[in-house]
Amino acid sequence: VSTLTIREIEEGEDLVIATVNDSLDSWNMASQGLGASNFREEGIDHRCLDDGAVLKAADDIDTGTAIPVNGGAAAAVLNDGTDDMVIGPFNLSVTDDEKIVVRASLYYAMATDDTEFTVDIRYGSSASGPWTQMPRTVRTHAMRTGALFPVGKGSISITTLHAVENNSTLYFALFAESGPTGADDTEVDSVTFFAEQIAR
Amino acid sequence: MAYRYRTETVETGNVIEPSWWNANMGELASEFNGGLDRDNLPLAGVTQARLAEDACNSIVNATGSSSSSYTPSVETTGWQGSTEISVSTLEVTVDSLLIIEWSGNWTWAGISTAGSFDGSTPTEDAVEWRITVDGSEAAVTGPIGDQRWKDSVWLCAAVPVAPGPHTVAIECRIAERDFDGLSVNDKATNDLTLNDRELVITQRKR
Repeated sequence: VSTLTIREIEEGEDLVIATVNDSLDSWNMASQGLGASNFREEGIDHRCLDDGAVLKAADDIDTGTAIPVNGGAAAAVLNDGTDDMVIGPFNLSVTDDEKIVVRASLYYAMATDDTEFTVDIRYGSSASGPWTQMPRTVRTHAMRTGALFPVGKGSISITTLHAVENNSTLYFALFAESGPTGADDTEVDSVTFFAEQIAR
Repeated sequence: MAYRYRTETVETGNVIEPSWWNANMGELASEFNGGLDRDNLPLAGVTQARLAEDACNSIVNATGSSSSSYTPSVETTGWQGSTEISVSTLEVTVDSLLIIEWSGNWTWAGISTAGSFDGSTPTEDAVEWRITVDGSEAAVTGPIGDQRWKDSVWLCAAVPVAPGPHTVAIECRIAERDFDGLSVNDKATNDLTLNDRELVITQRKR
């Protein structure tokens, strides 16, 4: 915090060097240490902020529906017994030590021959992987034999936090797997993925 | 006021009047000592590096975000919380909005299979989850039955808070319930094991 103190001069007094220098010194000190109290309450608004100073997410949001994981034009069908990337990859270029919040949600309809459906969020250093599972993001839905409803339909949402280091580029994607084995007929739909960097 | 002008203009040949000097300097000093605002700063002049860390948002690392398995007690039908589920205490220094998100995955050890839920045995074990802030409920699920023996949920809440310590907790309530899910009948028979879960709290300050 800087407080500027001006030495007043009075009529009739000799203007001495110290009077001027004291004011100059105060200017010098003040100009090196501006603080919150130098600014008017509510005096700083968004126009002062550089783009991306607080939230950098403009190019890191994507949404989708009926993602064709098999490469088909319309099918959103999972390969039984193997994992599929259902949306992504999205990449963030990190310019500071930051925390990234990643959110994903989807709807699924398990086929009659499938009993388990698992999703997780993964990250990697390139768009083609290799992929590493983000901790705490595995979500499994399963129907047990004998349940009233052998076919499962539902939705899964995940929020997770990931700390990243400066000057790194990370890729994120949502993976899903159905099974255990059999026909490829479990479907996913309404997939949404959202990763944001909160800088300050 | 962002712009201040000299109140007195001295021209060549004038004898400097002390009050002019004082008035001009005073005008500048009053602006500098608490009157600066957006007009004194260039457009987009405040870059990320100029902002203090967490000046606008803080993301809280929550206690209890874990991949380790945890089995809550089925000996009670009331709400129960613990650090193993998710609890976080944070010291808030300015008026803030807490945006709270929790998601978790669990597995039932068994399934309510007696009968066919056609009315002859109209009960099942079920779990509810909720977010509390300083003990007050901020978000809650309904009872989620054990028919889906591996299941998950995502909860969110936004709660304004004043400066001071605040505790965000995730709690569960496990019980045997009527099949309509409305009333608690008894203690649950089946254990529930909580697996991957994460509590993320964003403190929005501005």
